[in-house]
Amino acid sequence: MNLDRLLQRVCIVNISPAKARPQYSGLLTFWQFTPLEMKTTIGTLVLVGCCFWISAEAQGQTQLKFWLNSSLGAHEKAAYQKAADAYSQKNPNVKVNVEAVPGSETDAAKLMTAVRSGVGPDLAVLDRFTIAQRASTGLLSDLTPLIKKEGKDLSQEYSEGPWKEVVYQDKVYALPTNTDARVLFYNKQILKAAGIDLSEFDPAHGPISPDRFKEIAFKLNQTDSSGAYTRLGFVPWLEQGWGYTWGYAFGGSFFDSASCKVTATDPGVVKGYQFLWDWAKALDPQKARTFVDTYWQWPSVGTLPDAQMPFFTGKVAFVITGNWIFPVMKEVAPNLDYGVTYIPAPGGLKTSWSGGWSVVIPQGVKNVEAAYGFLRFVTGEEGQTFLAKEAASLPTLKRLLERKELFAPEYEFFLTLLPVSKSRPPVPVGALYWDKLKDAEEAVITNSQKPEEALKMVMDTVQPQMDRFCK
Amino acid sequence: MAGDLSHSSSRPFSKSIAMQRSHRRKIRKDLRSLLVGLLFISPWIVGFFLFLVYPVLANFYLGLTQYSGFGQPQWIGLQNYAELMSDPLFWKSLYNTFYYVILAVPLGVLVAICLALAMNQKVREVAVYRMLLYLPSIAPVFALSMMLIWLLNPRYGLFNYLLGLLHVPAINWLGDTHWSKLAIVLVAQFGAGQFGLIFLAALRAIPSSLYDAASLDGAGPWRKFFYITLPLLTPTILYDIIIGIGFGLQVFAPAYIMTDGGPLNSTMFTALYIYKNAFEYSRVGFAATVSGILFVMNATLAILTFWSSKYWVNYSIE
Repeated sequence: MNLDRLLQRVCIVNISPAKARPQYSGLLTFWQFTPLEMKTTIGTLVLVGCCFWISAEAQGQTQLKFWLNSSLGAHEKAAYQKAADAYSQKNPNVKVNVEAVPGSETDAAKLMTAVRSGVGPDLAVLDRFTIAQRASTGLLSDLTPLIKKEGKDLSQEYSEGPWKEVVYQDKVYALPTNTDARVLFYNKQILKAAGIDLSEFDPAHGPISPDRFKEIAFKLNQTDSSGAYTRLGFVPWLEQGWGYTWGYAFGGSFFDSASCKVTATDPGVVKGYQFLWDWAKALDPQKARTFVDTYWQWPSVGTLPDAQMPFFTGKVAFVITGNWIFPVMKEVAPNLDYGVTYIPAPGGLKTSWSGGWSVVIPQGVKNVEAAYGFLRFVTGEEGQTFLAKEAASLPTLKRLLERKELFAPEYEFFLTLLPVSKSRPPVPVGALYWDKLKDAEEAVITNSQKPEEALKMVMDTVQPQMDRFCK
Repeated sequence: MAGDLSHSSSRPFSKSIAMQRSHRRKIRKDLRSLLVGLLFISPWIVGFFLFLVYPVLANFYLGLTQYSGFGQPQWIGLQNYAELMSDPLFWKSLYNTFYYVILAVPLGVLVAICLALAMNQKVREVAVYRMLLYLPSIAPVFALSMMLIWLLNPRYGLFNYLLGLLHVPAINWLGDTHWSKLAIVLVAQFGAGQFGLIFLAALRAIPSSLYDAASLDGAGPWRKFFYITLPLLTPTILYDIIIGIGFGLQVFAPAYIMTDGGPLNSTMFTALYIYKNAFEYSRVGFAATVSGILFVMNATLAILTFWSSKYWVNYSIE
């Protein structure tokens, strides 16, 4: 068969040497194949089709696409991968393909657009405090019927805080994986060199008062000849020192479920922000900002190699962070002489707050049963064990919390905090509330807005959005 | 006679019929050609309507609804517009965006012309210089932004080190509200090589006879540049400005990567504001409202720039 001729057929044009320009010859010519051309074309199509069919059948597996959020730590990602591999090994007819996709705790652009266009994953990891919001938009599948079919009361198996975060309007939209707790880490070497009595930070004495803490921390500040800070005792807004941290530490509350109101101007929250204001003022806001931007470079998460984190390099003597730091510390700062204690709080209030991830099945998933099978595995005992061992995560399953052999001695303090630890309010405007509290924090630490004023702006922006969901 | 008459009158009649026929045949042929032509460009036409006209119209419709991206949009009329007008962050984002456009677009033209002039030098190794000058503009914006975070470090960054040699005090580029937008403008200049190439092509299209004549008349390099080069580059400058305004109004990636809109929302550009509302707060309807406004602004500015071109753009050599 002449290739030119076939080309002419397929392109629906006549290309003959006599005619310089290709002539349109109508759609009909497409069907005017000779028997040989017809046989060749059909044969090729059948062959290609068979290849696809055979390759799909040869695997004989249900393929599940499991999306991880790119803001998960490397150890957490490794733990999810191990869980997926273990599940595929246990269930040879199911293959779980793990993919890390762009996104953050509050940014679900990739997931939203993929699900909307019908190419979303079968399962995805989402920050638990955004579940109510994502459920309210219709992004997530309701898991309640699947749980009912199983005949188990899962609410009794998981800790209360994480479970509340995955329930929206009495329906379950996710299952919790891990949780955490925030505490004050301190560098013993720096404190000892400054002649500070370490027993003041012994958790047995309860939380240190904010005033005394400030006194100690400021003794550790160092500057160079130009007056720029080269070391700070403590920067309250570094790492996990969010508005939530200080609001809870000063006894504040962020949401009143009875009246369906966000309570950013709660006196405790205002006191927490006032603490940040005073601290920044004492440091000089601009100088403190330059210090943080030099050694931390927030908000560009991931731009700072773990080894250069200010706490590990001795640029700060104290930092508020969580249990997920242990595997990182083992790798990049194995010789760091550190201690952990309660977050400074007035009146000896033992406080912390916990976040954590969860796994969801988005809308439009075809094989919900298979996805649910893996969901139960990864959020169940096996999956959470991987997370505890690999990523120093605290489990959300009550029975796993009792398995002491899972936890290294350094976890002990975090486990004791879980009963008093709080969560961010699981509201359908969670991401907006988080961002606005962050804006208020920034206004306060730059001393450009008084705490009351900044927090009132948070209320004025978030409450009208919240009202849409209040009955 | 009658026969003659009928004969003489039938000739023009039959001629006119023939003409009509041929005219009709021509029309039919033209129509057929048009149809064939349209059929050939139909992939583009379908794409244009499906991927441009439809999304723009759909966007204006969604702007009048409450929509999360899932389920059915709920019609709420002009409520989104009313809310937008009272949102200080929207106005701040517009201010930031226009600040950026006013600074980045003229600066971009200037840098691109400088690059083009440098690329146009008559030296043996010009190809190497061209490559070096063009190279930064093909760096992915993510890599470029990450690199700049380090280069702009207040204490250890290269920029502050160089400024320090001139005894300029250290600047916290990304952490100070006075400098953050300038830092983003700076990032944009790394992409000027693209327009530099277009300017280079325009430069090379200027006949050398003009420069020769000017030299004979005793014109120096500056005079040649302002009286020959610049006027003949104006069509390219117009193109650069229109495209630059379009890109500038949609500035997103450097701010998203380097500052996340901070500090104190000083780099919260309108496109970032749209993104946050759509994908972080699940307010796709509201984001569509802002997108619509940005679209109208973009189109208006492009039309105004084009209209103004008759006063300053030089299309002919005479």
